[in-house]
Amino acid sequence: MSDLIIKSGNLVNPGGDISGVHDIYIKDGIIIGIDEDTTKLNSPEIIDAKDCIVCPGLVDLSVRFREPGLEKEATILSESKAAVSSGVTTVCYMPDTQPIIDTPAQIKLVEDIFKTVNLCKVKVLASLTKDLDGNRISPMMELKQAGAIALTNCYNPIKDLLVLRRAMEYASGHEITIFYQPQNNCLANYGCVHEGKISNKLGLPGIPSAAESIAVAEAILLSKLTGVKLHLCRISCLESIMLIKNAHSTGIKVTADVAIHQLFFDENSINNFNNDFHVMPPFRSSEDLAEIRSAISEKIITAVCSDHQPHNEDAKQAPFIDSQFGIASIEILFPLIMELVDLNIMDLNTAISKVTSNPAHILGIDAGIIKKGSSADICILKKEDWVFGQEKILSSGKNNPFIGKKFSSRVYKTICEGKIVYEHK
Amino acid sequence: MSENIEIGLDQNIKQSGIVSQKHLRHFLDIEYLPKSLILDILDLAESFAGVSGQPVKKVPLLRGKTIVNLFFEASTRTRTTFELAAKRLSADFLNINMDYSATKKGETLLDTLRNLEAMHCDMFIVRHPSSGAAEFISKNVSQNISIINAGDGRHAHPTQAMLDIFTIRKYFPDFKKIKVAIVGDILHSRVARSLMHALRILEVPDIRVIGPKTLLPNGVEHMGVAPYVNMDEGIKGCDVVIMLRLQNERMNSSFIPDEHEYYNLYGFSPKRLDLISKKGIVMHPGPVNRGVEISSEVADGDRSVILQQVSNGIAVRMAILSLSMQP
Repeated sequence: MSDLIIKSGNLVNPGGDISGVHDIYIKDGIIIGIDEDTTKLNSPEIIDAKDCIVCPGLVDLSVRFREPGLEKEATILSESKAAVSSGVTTVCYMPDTQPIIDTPAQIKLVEDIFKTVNLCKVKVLASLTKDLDGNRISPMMELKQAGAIALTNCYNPIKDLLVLRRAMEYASGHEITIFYQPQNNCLANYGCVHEGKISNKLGLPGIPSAAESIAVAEAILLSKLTGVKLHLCRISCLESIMLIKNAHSTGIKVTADVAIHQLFFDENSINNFNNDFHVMPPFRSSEDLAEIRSAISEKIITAVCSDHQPHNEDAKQAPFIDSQFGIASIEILFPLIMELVDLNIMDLNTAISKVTSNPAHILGIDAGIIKKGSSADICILKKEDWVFGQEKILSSGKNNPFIGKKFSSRVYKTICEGKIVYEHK
Repeated sequence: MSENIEIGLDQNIKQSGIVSQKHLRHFLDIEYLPKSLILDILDLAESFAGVSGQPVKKVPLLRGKTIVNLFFEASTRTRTTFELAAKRLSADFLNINMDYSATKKGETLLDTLRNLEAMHCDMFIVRHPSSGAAEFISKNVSQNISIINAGDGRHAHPTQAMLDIFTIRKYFPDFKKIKVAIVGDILHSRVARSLMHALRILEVPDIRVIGPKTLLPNGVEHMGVAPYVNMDEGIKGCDVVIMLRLQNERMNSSFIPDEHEYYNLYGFSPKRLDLISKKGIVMHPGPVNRGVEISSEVADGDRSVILQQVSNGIAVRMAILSLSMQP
């Protein structure tokens, strides 16, 4: 690994002390100085970043790379390539693989594959209940000691609130964060779209907003009762936002994220049974979309993630309700974040904080900030018009409603632990 | 115009000798059909209605064409009337009943389709429990095959709605002057959804949907209809009352308390006949649950047109099949 100097880039570094035009000096994977070469680099490679944005590598709170078990859909190699092309240097790995990540060995397996692939870093989430069954709590401390960054039950319901309470209590005692996907499955009742205009029109079973917000309310109150560090995943409706706001005002320290696609589409996008818009939670009403956009500009929802879910052709080749949900969105995460800046939904600093320092803070890891002594995880972004065409997709998943979209910025280089892992050519 | 209902621009593809024909690519949904085309279909059906009364009940319109009934869900009336319609148009006809659960386990819907395509059929009439299935299939078949939607999930049952408005027109020729009520399980009903579209396109000024709130979709008024929870208020002065079948499983999932209360509140009992307009008619797409949503006295009485709906179904489906067949 050669030493690096990133010269004259415009540093956008929301969680750090330094910003503006600076040179960054990197040795052995570590940022050893900003504007000063503290140890005399050995014939360094110089990256000219004039007129570029230089920011911390992105921290993505939720990805599914399908390995192990569903390699026919995607692999850690294929999806890591897609991730770094969007400036992502740390991904949170969801445990609903096959087999499920509920033992230390499973965590090690995933970490080892990432090490072999050697493109981006991984933080593994393990399952909150054994086999994600929602009934028996997993060996949380063993999982934490093996490297699990947090625990989650993914989309699998915990029907009995007493189990959820005990899981939270146990986790709280060992200072383990719980990522909770709020959905009351009784109310969701096998729905596949938002209950409203589009469910009426298309005759598709709907999921009311209350299915989510009721679960949000339960989780917030239980986090207060148990003191657990709670993170709410993929918020989609205005009632949930109201509840989170209310929790914050009464001193409950819950955090929340939203999937990037939820900031661009609402239920009306689904017209004509287009399977690419089958997501979970579903796209809600236009009022919900407006509220989510304002919640990320304020401090209610502090992180945006890709919620990357690649599928192969077969998974989408079915009538809407029978098709698999999810979007393979990681490789346009950063361009879409920049689009939100262009749309005046957030300023540049706030927008970048949602995918760097804020998610790192939620995870409690030293990442998402450019500072002396930190791992050199850096993304360099250029202003440039381009079109996201199907032929350019790096991910194995082509399930993406953004295909054909024009973007005004693109990732020029991604550096992970001092190594250039992506270069746009 | 939605792409899913491509109405061919070539209006002179062939002269059937009955009326000059327009041409449909598929018949999936009523929502985007223009009023004029709906009326054309009704007129063509009118001319076919005579065929069933003739000693030789056949016209040679679709001779040499192969039509397949592809049913992933049980049906008697719809399946049979499609079969009769196809046979009266002289088409070769095949009935395939797919056990939906079996196909779900093994062969995918697309594979099933590819296999049937390989047998060189010209048209599939599809019923499927998933909303959007007919549209999905239409996007995945080759150019020369037409898809007729015979019911997809809760989404649409357009031929049923067509035969219903055909029946209504027999009694009330001017759609702009009538009040229509649809009663029962609106939430789960594809018939109700297609009817709401058809009646709206035909400019029926007063369309009502009646049922307990659990069976009325949230926000149904956005579909241009007025919801009523009280049936007596809802059917008052209506010229047409369409009763929907109540599925037994609704009782076990807290939609309604029991049959008894349902019949009291939403069943068409003889005394409710006094509430509708003097010439008002009662309809039902079948199969009828006697004593649950309608009393036998009303179902078999002189205000009921339930059996006419069935006979009209053949003529209306003949019209739709002949208009949708690719040349």
